[in-house]
Amino acid sequence: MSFNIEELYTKMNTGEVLLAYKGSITAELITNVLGVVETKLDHVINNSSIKKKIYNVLVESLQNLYHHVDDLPEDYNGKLDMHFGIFVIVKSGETYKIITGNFIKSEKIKKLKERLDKIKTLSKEELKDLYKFVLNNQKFSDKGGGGLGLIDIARRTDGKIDFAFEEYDQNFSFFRLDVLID
Amino acid sequence: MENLFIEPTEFSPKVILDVKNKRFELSGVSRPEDVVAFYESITLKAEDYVSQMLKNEDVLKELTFELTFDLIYINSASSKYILQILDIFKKLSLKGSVVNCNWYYEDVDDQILEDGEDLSEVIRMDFNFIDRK
Repeated sequence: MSFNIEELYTKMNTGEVLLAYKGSITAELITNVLGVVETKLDHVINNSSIKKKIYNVLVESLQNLYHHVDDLPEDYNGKLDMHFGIFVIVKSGETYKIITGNFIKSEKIKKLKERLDKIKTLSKEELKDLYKFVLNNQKFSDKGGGGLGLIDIARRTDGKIDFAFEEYDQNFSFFRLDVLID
Repeated sequence: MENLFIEPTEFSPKVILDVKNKRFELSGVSRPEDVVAFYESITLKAEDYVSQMLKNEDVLKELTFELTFDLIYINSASSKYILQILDIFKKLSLKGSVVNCNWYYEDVDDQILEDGEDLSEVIRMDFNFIDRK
C-alpha cells in the first residue's frame, strides 16, 4: 500500500513541533487543546498579533476537522479511533505552520479542491467580499458548519495555504491542509 | 417580557437582554462547542422581545435600544449568529426606534474590529466602534 498514516504523521512531525495529535477529534478535545495552546503560546511567543492569528486559525481548522472527520475507510474500522484526524503545529524560525489531516470520500474531493483553488487566487478585497457574501447568505450545515472557516483562514494568512489529497483506496483519500502563519 | 442572562464560560460569552433598561449585551469569548445550540435560544428570546415591541407603535417611536458587543474573540460560526441578532434588533429601527450599536475592540489591528466592520457593512447599520483602552 502506498499511503501510510504513520509515515505521513511522522513526516508532519518535522522541525520544532509545538503540538501534535492524532486520534479522535471531539468537541471536548478541541476545548482542551485550545486551553493548552493558549498557555503554551504565551510562553513561546511575545508577538501578540501572531499569537492571535495562530489561535484564530487553529480554532477554525479544528472546527473544520470536527465537522468533516466522519468518513473513515472500512479497513480502518476498529484500528483507528472514530472521528479520526490529525493536527500538528510546527515552528520554523518566525513562521508557524498548522497542519490538519483527515480522510475524505473521493466524491467530495472535486468540490473541495475547486473551493480551495479559488480561495487561494483571491485578493484580500475579494476574500472580504466572499466572506461577507457567505456570512449573509449561506445556511448552517446539518453539522453546524457555517461555511466560513476556510475563507476566514485564507483572510488571516493572506492565502498562505497548501493542500494535498493522497489516495488511500478507490473510495477514500487523505486530505491534508497546511496553513502558514508569519 | 422576560430578561435573559447567561453567565460567561471560558468559551462562551456573557449574554444579557435587559428589558427594563432596553439593552442587549454580548461580551467575552464566543467559541461555544455547539454554536447552534448556544445561539438558538438567544435568537428566540430576541425575536420574542422584538415582536412584542413591534405591537405598540407609540412605544416604538419613543424607544432607544442599546446593543453592546464587547467581545475578545469570535469564531466565524458565531459571526453568523451575531448577524442574525443584529437583523432581529434592526427591525426596531425600521419602525422608528433608535438602535445604537456599540462595538468594542482593543487594537486597530485587532481581528475583532474587522469582524465588527464586516458585520456593520453586511447588516447596513452604523456601529460606534469603541477602543476598549
